[in-house]
Amino acid sequence: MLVNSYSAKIFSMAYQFTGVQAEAEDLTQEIFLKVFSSLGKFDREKNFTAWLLTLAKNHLIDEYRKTKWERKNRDDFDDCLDRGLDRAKDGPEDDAVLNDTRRLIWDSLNLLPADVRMAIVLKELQGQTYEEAAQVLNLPVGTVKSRINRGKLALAKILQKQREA
Amino acid sequence: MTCRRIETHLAAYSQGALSARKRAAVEAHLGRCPECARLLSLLEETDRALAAFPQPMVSGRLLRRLYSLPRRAEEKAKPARAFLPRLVRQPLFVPAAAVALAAAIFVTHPDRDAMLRSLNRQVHRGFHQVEVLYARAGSLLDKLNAYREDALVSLKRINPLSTNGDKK
Repeated sequence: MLVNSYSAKIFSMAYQFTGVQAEAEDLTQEIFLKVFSSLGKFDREKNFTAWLLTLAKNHLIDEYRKTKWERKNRDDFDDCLDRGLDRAKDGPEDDAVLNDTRRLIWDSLNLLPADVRMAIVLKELQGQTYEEAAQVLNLPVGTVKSRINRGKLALAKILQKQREA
Repeated sequence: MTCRRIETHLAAYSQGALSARKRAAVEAHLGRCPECARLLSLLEETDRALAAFPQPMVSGRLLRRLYSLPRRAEEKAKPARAFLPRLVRQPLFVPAAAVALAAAIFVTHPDRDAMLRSLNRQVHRGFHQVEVLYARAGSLLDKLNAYREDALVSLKRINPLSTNGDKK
């Protein structure tokens, strides 16, 4: 039940944060193991999804600090993520540009500091609201907004450099 | 406003989240700075790309691993709950049970006398070994004391602080 409801969310969060499928699968398993052993500590009056995502975020950041994934290359975007693209939205030309931008962003995510990357993953890639992301990150909404804006600006500058190169 | 200052407002500007005064200042700057206008366009492109990011799929292999997790946790927990009473978890139970078991085996064993003799021999042999070790330790201590005395005598003879040599 828990696996059916939350595995996709936790795995995509781990994958978008680390960029390496095998790493993300191991981390997802570790997160679920932690969840199963900590279910007794969950306060039933609180939001379960926020609790689960906070636990996942803490585990991902802790593991990042231990192993420093940024040294590793992220998986190839086309091989691992391109399956889900919605090609009907734009014309073929726009689609190619958008796809190129997505690939560049995917490759550049590990250049962002972990806290900024996690905020971008939660809000922009997981589609959470600022309030939900703030709850998971245990930060004020204003801090989350400025962190995300900083991250987007850094990504735009990386795009600029890549395009000029 | 400088370009650096404008940059910090661009993301909020593109989301329409700036006050009228700041928006006007950013627009005035963008009108005369092609660099910042280009950065804004890239920021909007970044926004569009992030909004349309595909979600990765969970593999069947990972799902199987995850489905086996609760069962694995239960398997670990079951034997302790099902077969061992709470008493087992008491710290004195296991040693007490081991002593009681050994005593029961000894009392009911047909060769009890032979076992007793063997045990007696083992105990005496143990005592003897302890005595030998103790004696060796004593002689070692004596030797060390003798070395210490010799060293002290030698040091007194050499006496590096003595000024006799200078007088000569």
